[in-house]
Amino acid sequence: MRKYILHRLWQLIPVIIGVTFIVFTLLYISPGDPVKIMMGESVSQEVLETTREQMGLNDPFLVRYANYLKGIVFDLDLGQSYATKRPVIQEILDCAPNTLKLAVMSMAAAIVGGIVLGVISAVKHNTWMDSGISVLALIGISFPSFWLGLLLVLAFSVKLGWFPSSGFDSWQSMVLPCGVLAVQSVATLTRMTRSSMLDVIRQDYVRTAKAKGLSAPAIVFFHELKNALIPVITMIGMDFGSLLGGAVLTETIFSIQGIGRLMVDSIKRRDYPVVQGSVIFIAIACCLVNLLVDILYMFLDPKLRKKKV
Amino acid sequence: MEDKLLKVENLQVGIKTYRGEVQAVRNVSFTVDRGEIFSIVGESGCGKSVTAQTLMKLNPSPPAMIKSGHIYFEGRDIVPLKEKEMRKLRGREISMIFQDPMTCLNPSKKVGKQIAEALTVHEKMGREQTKKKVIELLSLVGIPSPEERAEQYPHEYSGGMRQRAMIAMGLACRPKLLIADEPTTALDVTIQAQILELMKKTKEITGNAIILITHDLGVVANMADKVAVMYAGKIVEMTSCMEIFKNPLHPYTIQLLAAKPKFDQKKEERLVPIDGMPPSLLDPPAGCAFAERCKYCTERCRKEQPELKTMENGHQVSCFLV
Repeated sequence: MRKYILHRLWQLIPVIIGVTFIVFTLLYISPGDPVKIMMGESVSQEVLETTREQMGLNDPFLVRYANYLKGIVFDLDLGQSYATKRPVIQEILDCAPNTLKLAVMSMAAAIVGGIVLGVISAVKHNTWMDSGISVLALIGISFPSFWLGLLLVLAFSVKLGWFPSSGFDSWQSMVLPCGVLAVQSVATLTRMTRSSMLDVIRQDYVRTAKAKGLSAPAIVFFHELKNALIPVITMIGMDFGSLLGGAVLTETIFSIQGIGRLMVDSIKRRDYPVVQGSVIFIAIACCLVNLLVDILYMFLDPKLRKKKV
Repeated sequence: MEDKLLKVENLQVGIKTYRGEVQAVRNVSFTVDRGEIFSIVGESGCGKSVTAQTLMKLNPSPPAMIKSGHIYFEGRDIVPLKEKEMRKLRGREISMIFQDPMTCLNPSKKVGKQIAEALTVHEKMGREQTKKKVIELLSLVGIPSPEERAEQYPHEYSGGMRQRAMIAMGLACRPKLLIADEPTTALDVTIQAQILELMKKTKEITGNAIILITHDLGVVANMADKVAVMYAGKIVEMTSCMEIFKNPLHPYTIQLLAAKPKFDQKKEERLVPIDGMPPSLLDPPAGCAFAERCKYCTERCRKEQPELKTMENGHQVSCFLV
């Protein structure tokens, strides 16, 4: 197990190098002069040239890339924001906790809700409960998050005044944004759990468990759930990965300073180092989530445990 | 105490489908004595598995439902029993092993744990005691180094070993009746013999009765005390194992035995298949179900259902011609 995890972490290195290279190249070939962005259009040609030389912008592509990588590896230095002049890593660390909180809380709600609803739906297959849950899930999937967000703000902040419409500092202010993000995940997870459970319910070993004299709830908990969760975990991993990448729309609606918003703002400002830094941050986060999912697989499916790496 | 362990009377089971109701089991009656091996033979779809699962009420209901009849287990009718009471019977008094050991064990649970479950559900046993019992059971069914094997998962077992584990699970609480639904069909021939031997051996030790569902007459000859031949949801002939091979009376049984390859068969001799197909049980025929395929079919056979007649020596058969 430990060997497997180490092996996987080791494998992360080429992935991250690849990501940095692609992001760096893309931004290198994109139009716009960073120095002009930093200093404004009215600066003299001479100043522009000296600044370019100072920042190393006149170096060949590969040299610049190598310097960038060197900075990351040795000093954890992702460069400096053109706009705020602060280190990129600082910008990211300012935003990351909000995104992380948002992702973890909405995902936790979605996992609990989705699995519970999915299991109920499968166990009560073809009853009014099943149909009801399926309809709700369909509605949940169909709601665009920006619209749902605005609706919730209208209802709970403006009309009822229960929760604030923006900010992210108290638990009250977290309810609405987490709710918006959770709704979609709950809906997809419910559907996934339901279909996966229906598969498992028809398996022979479930009949074996029944023949042993186990009660229906015991069969669900001890025999069905663990096997049914494997595809659901994949889904959770994917959802969680994309949430860590920042929920741009939700963060914008509720004015939360998260990674998604940081990235979009930086793109608008052509603040390339910040864009680069956030993409790399998101890539690493996604890789780690994937690793976590794979470890969970091994826990759920004993066949994977024995496999040699 | 009732002397018959199991007494099934006029059991009728219907299964609802989109195309109508399949009358899977039509008026089946039989008895099983304590310690007896009772075999039900028949081709695919004749209702033998449905009958077996109905004895434990394992068929999902709906769509399957017992329409009439009684199943007396030790004198108590289990047809009206509630699910909660059935659970007390399942695994403790009656247990079952299934056809495909590859899919009948939970792939994500240790084999030892799965066997232990049967014990913890019915007998309030401590953890240490359960563990000891599981190892005892595994060695009873001939699994080498049971301590290690108990900690393994089903995919680490071979097919034959999985069926052994299933038998261990079935026998865990020393049930009075073990229903084996085609226990050897999915196994290769050498393993088949071992599993049958094992079932016989454990029966000697625990004294349980066995209902053996199979389509393999070789298995029947090897194992059974009493045999019932099922066709289209009905028992057409029922007698002792010796009698059925020596003196089959129902045309279906006769033709079934003729279709079986024999040891001393000459190369030129061909097997005699039974022409035609069994009737659809969505709409069973008014007369004898075998009439369409029977060489001796008369006018009466097509109109009336033959009753199960009992001969002097106890041999039962449902045919007008006998």
